Amino acid sequence: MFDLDVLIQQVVYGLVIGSSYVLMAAGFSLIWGMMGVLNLAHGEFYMLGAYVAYYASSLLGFNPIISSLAAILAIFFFGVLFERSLLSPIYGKPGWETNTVLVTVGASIFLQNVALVVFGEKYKGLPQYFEGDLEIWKIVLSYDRLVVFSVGCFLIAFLWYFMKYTRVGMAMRAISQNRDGASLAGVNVRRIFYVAFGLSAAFAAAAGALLAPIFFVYPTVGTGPLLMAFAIVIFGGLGSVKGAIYAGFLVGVFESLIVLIVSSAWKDVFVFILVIIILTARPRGLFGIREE
Amino acid sequence: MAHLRVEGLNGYYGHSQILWNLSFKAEEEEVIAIVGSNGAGKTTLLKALSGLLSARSGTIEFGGQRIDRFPPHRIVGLGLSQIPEGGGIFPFMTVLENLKMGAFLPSNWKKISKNLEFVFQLFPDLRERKHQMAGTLSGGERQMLGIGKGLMASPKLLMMDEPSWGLAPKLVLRVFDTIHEIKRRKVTILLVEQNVYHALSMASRAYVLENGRIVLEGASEALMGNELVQRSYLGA
Amino acid sequence: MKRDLKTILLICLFLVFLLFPALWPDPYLLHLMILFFLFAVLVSNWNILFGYMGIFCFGQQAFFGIGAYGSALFALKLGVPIPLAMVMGGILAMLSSVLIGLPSLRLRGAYVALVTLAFAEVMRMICSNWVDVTRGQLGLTVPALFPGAGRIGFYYASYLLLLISTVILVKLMWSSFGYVTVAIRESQEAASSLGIDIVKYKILAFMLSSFMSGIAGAFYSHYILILTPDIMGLHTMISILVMGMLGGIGTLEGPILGTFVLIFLSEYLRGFGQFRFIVYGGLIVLSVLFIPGGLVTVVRWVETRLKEFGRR
Repeated sequence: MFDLDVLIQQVVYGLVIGSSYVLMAAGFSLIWGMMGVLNLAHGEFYMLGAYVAYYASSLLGFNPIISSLAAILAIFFFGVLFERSLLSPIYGKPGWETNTVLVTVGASIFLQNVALVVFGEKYKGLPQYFEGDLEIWKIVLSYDRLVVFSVGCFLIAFLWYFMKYTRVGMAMRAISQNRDGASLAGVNVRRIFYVAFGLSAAFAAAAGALLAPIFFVYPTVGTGPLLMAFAIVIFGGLGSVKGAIYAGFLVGVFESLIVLIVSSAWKDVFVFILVIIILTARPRGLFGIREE
Repeated sequence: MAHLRVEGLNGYYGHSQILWNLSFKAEEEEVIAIVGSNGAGKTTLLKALSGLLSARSGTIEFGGQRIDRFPPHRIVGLGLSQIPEGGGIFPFMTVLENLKMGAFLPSNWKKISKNLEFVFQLFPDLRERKHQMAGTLSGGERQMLGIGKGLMASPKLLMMDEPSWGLAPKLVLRVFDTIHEIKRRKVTILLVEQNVYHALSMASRAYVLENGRIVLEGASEALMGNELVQRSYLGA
Repeated sequence: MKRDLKTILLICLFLVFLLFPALWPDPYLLHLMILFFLFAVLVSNWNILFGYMGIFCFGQQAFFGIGAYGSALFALKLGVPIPLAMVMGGILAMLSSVLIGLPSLRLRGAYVALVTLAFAEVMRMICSNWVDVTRGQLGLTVPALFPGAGRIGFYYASYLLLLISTVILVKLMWSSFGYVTVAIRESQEAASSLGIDIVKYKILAFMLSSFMSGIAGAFYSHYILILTPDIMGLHTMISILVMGMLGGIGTLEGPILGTFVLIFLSEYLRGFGQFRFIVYGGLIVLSVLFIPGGLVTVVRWVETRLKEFGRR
């Protein structure tokens, strides 16, 4: 039915977008799994990262890699600030599970509209930084997209290493599995919370920064990635960064293949249907360790 | 100066009061026990001592220092460690990772290899299962791991919540040998137990906790012979 | 003493709303009140799932939209008289809740959120893309319930709807159903170990919640007269969430209070021009930080103060 080349091309595109999905989802999953917080402002970290990259590129002439780094650093600290001012005061107190949802919703509305006022509603585009395409066996990949994929994979590998081998990363995993046990081991849980939050925000910003030259940058650009992150995290299993990685790439590829069959307006529908099917079969997602 | 001194401790879960005006102490290198049946408030008490219970009043002094408002990690840093019921272990991390986590504090991280050696000597089984997922361990092994993890923090006072619970008699003896060994290393031990016989065999002094109140205290032999204790707890 | 005071207050409110069109006949104010009544029904019924049973239903907007579109299409395409079409819209919404509610029976917490949201989005996209039937983004023109009668007819109709909805919910929550829902929220395991058929109660809750929300949607469509799929979108869900939580979920007055405050606050903020939503978002954040239980806690605080004052 379809040319094998076309299929493989789409799979490659899927992996590229998938790497960004993983960046969005991994942070979302980490916070949700570790703190039990549903951060509905997560998309705004993506958006802010995109704007940082946009201005770093257009005003300061940075290349996409440096811009992404700038975005990661800036939004890491923003994320820490966010957690300490908005979540820390209400966390653990009665009703916190729903209050944290509301506070992040409020923050999301606030940030989107500040961006609207400050940056304007116009869709901003960045010119292609690296000209040309990489061509292997009839598969074409623009260098821009190659950068997205490689930096994305690098960051994912960094996250994996961080979680597995560093002291702070191990503490994060420990907290997700037994919070009191972690406290009793001497872990400063509150501090790990805001570090993790900063990390989650930084990764979302990285996704936004990396994709800025490929898609447009505008104040509500984060809503789509948030929904995707939500679906992917559940698909992969709550609290499992490994699950987010698998699910992120799977959804990216699935989405890219689906557009061959249905119009792109319906692709989100099918992603959702896929997730719903997976959930009915495996209520905990692929690798879920927490039920909620 | 007592190693640990508690005065007028009240503890609450939400609006219900669980602990009522508790006062007790532990001297250095002592092994003391707090015994009580299920629901007496033993675990709540340990939570309060480790800083995990936010709703409480009263004073807690460790090594002469007031620790009642300290966060849990700071209390561990001072040398007051707890091995909660079940060991406080991380089921999806390996045995080795669990032990490493026990030494999380910077002061302990430096002594990691030394403490690891000590723990592996104490529990050779753990050394064999270094890379096994903690969640796949048997009940007894998990308890050993919990104790090992607690020891990795180089505690000066170790509190244990029902260390022998659910273990076969052979393993219970292992636990007691371990406690002896820890005591030999000049660590003060606070044992919280449902099994009064076990507790009184290990400890030199004990308190009896009932409905969140201390109803009896004294030397172990005296308590063993006490009528109330015999009737309610020793099934005499 | 307290009960008398509260009853007097409620009767006053009842009368004020009854006489509102006579006291303040401004058509725009009436419009806001109609929106208030309809959304209060929507948010109150959502609250049964979210606030009382702890079901993270993020798909309520679909019930509203399906009721709206269903009623409009039954009237338009099948020539059904509007009141009947509205009931049919409600029933259609109730049927859709089977689809939306079913997966959530086995899942917990935010998993339910995703599934309900996903279903709502699927429904919205179907509505949006099925242009032949729904005219999608172009807008569906809907016949009016009270053609030519102005807003007043609609005011009283939607007021009546809110009253009926509130009475139903009050009776429900004070019955054994109410106790069960709270038990389910506190601990599903404990509740089921007591022999409570969790599934049955969840299904009943979904059915009632969706039916009333569908009716509210049907009212809305025959009032607003033009429908676009956006009413089933995320913005609606966010509004429901904010109205419910700001007022105070898990109470009966909370959602109504929250809806009222938010609708009029939104209006008032128009004066801020482009800063309108910045202030809106900021106020939400501040209210969570300073009034975490919702506005209901402020009302209760005032109540206790008055009680003490009354005693002296």
